Amino acid sequence: MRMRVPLLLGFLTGMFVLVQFFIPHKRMAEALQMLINWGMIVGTFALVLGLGSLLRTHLDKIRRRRPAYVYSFITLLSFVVMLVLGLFWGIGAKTPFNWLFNWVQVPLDSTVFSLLAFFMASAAYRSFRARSVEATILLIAAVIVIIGRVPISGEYTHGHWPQFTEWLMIYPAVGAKRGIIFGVALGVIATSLRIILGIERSHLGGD
Amino acid sequence: MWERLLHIDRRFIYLLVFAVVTVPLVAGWKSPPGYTNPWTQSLYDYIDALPEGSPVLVAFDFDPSVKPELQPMAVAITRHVMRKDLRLIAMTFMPAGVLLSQSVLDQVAQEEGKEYGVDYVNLGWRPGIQAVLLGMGENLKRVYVSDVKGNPTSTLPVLRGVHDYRQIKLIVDITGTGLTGAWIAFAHQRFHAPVGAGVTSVVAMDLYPYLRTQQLVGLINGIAGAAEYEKLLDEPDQAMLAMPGVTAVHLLMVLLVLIGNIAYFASRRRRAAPQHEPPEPPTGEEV
Repeated sequence: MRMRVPLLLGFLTGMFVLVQFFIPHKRMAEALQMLINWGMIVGTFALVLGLGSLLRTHLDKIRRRRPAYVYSFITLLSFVVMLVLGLFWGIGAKTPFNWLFNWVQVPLDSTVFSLLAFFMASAAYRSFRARSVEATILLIAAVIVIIGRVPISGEYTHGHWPQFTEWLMIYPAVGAKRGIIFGVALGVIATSLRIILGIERSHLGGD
Repeated sequence: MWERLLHIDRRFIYLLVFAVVTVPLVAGWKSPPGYTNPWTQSLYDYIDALPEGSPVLVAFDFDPSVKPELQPMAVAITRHVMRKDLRLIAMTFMPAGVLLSQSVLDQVAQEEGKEYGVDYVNLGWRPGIQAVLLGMGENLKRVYVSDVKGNPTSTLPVLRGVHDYRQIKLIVDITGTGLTGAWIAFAHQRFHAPVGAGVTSVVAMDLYPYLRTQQLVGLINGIAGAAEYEKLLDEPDQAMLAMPGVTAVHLLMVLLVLIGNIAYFASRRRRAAPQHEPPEPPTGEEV
């Protein structure tokens, strides 16, 4: 029963969403709207579950004094501070929440992301080698695109350099990308059908 | 020498990157792009051709991690929409995007003298991406009953006559994620809403297949695309300020790759060359 009811629900919901796409009737649109509302409610509960999971994981780390548990303490402290500030003073302009967001979260997040540039430069120097024909083609294409994407391109390089960069992006790169997209789309269709028909059951906790 | 060059301390490379990015920023150099990408131009032209009062939905689907790359284009798009007297409807699928979008809207609205609720609105964040995208195709005001300030959407003048995607003349998704694909799949393919995008350079390649098929009306590609948009608007701002640093670090990357390869091949040739050392004396064991 624990297996059959979720499978039946998945089958009915999946089939309805699939079929309604081909029946442009008012009743179908209304039923879809109702399903969408349910989806949003379920999404909100998923968020609450996520927060619960975050709290449980970090509380457990602190309780067991796991390595680097001090970061779990900082995470929980930040969570509580932002929650309290948001609940009592709101999140509008000139609120403590907004101040912390703009002057702590934004710089921290941007800094972590910007570190990528340093690692990329170091990795490119150490690993980007013309060891084979394929690697050489990749290297030449990369250099052309890198130079083609900066403002000096076209002014200090050959006039057609930016257009050639664009050609590389639109034809060879898109050709390969389209192949990947088709492959992924076919995989998604196959997996969706397996879920709707109850063949794929891993999302229910089974094998 | 080549071996030493190959095993250079990585901190030296970090220092170089830091220097070439920081110096132009501190000096305040601005660099207009020498070339305008056709996809940036097509998005600009599309917005420019919209009649006054047309509703344009801008999705601020980014969080603080990509703010330096995406906020300049968000400002440029918002500025263009407001300057053309179009109605701007803002929303986001990222919880942290609510405050980022509000700061962009407040800044540009003040510059352009626009009034909240009349010329623009911020609908904020709702959970459930697919549900919201499909829901807006049926009834936008049922998905967004109120805006971020708690005003009922049914009473806002900016949303008068806007029921679903059919009244929205353009959707612009500004993101560093794959959300534009969802906008194309649901808003464009299902409800035929025109979609444009402004994305980080990393994401841009994923969207190129949708340009040739006209599923995207235009694309702003990274900070370089944002600088191109600022040039089209004739409003040099943050993106143009970032461009000299971006240019310098791009050229440094090319230089590092070239030096790395030269050092690699030179050291390999040296290792492969025959060594002129005297032969070992015979031990007698081989006999």
